[in-house]
Amino acid sequence: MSNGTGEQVRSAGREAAQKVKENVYDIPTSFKSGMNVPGRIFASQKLMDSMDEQVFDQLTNVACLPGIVKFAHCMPDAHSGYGFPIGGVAAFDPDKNGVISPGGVGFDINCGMRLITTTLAEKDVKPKIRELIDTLFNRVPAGVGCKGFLKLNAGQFKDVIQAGSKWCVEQGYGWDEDLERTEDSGCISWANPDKVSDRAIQRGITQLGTLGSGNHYLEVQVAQDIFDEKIAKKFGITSNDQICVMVHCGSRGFGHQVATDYLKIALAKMKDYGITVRDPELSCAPFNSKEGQDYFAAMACAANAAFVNRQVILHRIRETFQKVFNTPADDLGMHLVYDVAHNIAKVEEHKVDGKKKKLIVHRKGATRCFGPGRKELAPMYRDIGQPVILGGSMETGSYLLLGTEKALEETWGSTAHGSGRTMSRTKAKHMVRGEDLQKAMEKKGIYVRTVSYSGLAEEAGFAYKPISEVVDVMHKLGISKKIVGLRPIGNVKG
Amino acid sequence: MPNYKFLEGISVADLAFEATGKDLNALFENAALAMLESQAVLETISPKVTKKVVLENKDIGQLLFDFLNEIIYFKDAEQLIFKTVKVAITDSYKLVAELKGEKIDLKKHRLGNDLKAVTMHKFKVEQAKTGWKCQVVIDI
Repeated sequence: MSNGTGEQVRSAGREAAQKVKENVYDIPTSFKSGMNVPGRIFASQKLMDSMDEQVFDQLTNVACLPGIVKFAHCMPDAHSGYGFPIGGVAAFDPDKNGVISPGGVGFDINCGMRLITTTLAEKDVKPKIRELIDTLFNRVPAGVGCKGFLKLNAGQFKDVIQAGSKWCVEQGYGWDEDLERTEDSGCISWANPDKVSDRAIQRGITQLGTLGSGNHYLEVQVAQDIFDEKIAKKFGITSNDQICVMVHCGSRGFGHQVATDYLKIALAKMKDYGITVRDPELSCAPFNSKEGQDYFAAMACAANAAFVNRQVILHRIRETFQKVFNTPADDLGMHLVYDVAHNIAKVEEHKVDGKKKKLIVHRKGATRCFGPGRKELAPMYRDIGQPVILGGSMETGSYLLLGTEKALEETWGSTAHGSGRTMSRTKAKHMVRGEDLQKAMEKKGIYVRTVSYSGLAEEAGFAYKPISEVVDVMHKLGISKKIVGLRPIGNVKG
Repeated sequence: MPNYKFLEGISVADLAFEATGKDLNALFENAALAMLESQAVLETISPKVTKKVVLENKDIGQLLFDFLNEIIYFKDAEQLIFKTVKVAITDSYKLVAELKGEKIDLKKHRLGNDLKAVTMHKFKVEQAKTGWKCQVVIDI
């Protein structure tokens, strides 16, 4: 929001936010007519001040949706999106006309993060970082309209989006253990390929195993701060010079088209269900309606495509390390720590007023962070809670966190997803040239390759919030615990 | 001067632009050019391949939304990026467009953003003092 002189005008939503306790702010239902629940923002004063003004309006629009339970939540890395804010978490009760919204998941269905360990130390990798990143750059396609190496026909693609990651393992593009280290074991069971359009399939059929662009990346990192040795060890990180690899990408053109198709359907059908929304991007359908169920089944196909995409990329990463270090990937300890989704809707059981209830939880730019005991977690993590991966900007580093019971009480088991933008792409591009940024990063010890220098400039570190501030807010609230901090040394930018 | 401009303050993470045109044909062409320019430097593209698009929608906003989605579709499904666009819309809102460009070539093209989707966020098509105006946010 601007007053015409370029200054930011404080929005009414921001003014209405009341501090409940340290790092928690509520916007009461009296703020806007039609709000069914309050908005709740998790942020430090500093992060509140850096949030763009539209966040408050978007969050309170979400609070107006039918069947929303308890709060419209906003994570500390939030920035405005369309419809939902990015960093939004909302749960809906299907028994109270609760809805599912394609806009509440976003266009990049199951955009997510994957973290891989190695037994290599920084001193082993530094001398070969150029060769390593150049090879990864060639083996994991990135950028506009990039194609992967898999050659599939439409029928085979339908099998892939139904089976998810286990298809990859069957084809030799992964290890058995990768499956339990992926959210939903890399396969959402209610996926139904009959619910996706041919157009969506045509957009995605050549793109499995590709990064795409925007803020997507593949990064070689060094563990630098171990905050909890015991849990870090369970996650496979034992020393503070250990090399890890992080991947951030989603369901590519296939998922984008599924979202577009169902946004149009929801927009056209909403009035039949008597639903009105404050923003067309909030278009939704009752979960228990044909359109709601169709979207849920199609979204699951896109989510599976994203799991496959990241699994195929993991395969290529293992191959690359094997080649560059002339050692088999298993001898290099290249285990998947976890794969998390941060744009997704799921049916989950949560406690509402002391009673267990099935809810439709939307996480848009937010990560599931289940604590111990949840049946959704693989046995290896069920006793301690799940690993949570937060990717920072290319320049500032990333975090591995632990999910907690407190998260289940506070946020439907959710936390932040990254550092969150504070500056528009257009502005970032005006402030730095991609070629200059590449040189500056290399001086700082980060070797980066990109197919788009303008895209690189848009992703400059100064365009993002400080990730440590985001992580600290959720750590102090006990929602997600800091386990390991990771620092980048090489990056393939999408 | 192109009849479109990229906007700040509309969207933090995505790409927002405003396009104008003396008539609907020019408006659609300029909106398409804004998208084409954001995905690659147009001077680096040769007009080797021609694609024809035919669409119909009584709602002019929906017609623009669908048309802009075609550009994204060709980029993903056929790896095509375009340099030029020609649009003809009849009174009954039938659109026939011709896009000229070529297959993506990493060595030749100076590439920009991989466009994911046309959003309905603050999406506007309206008559202006002299012709037409639209505002579009693209998810990238």
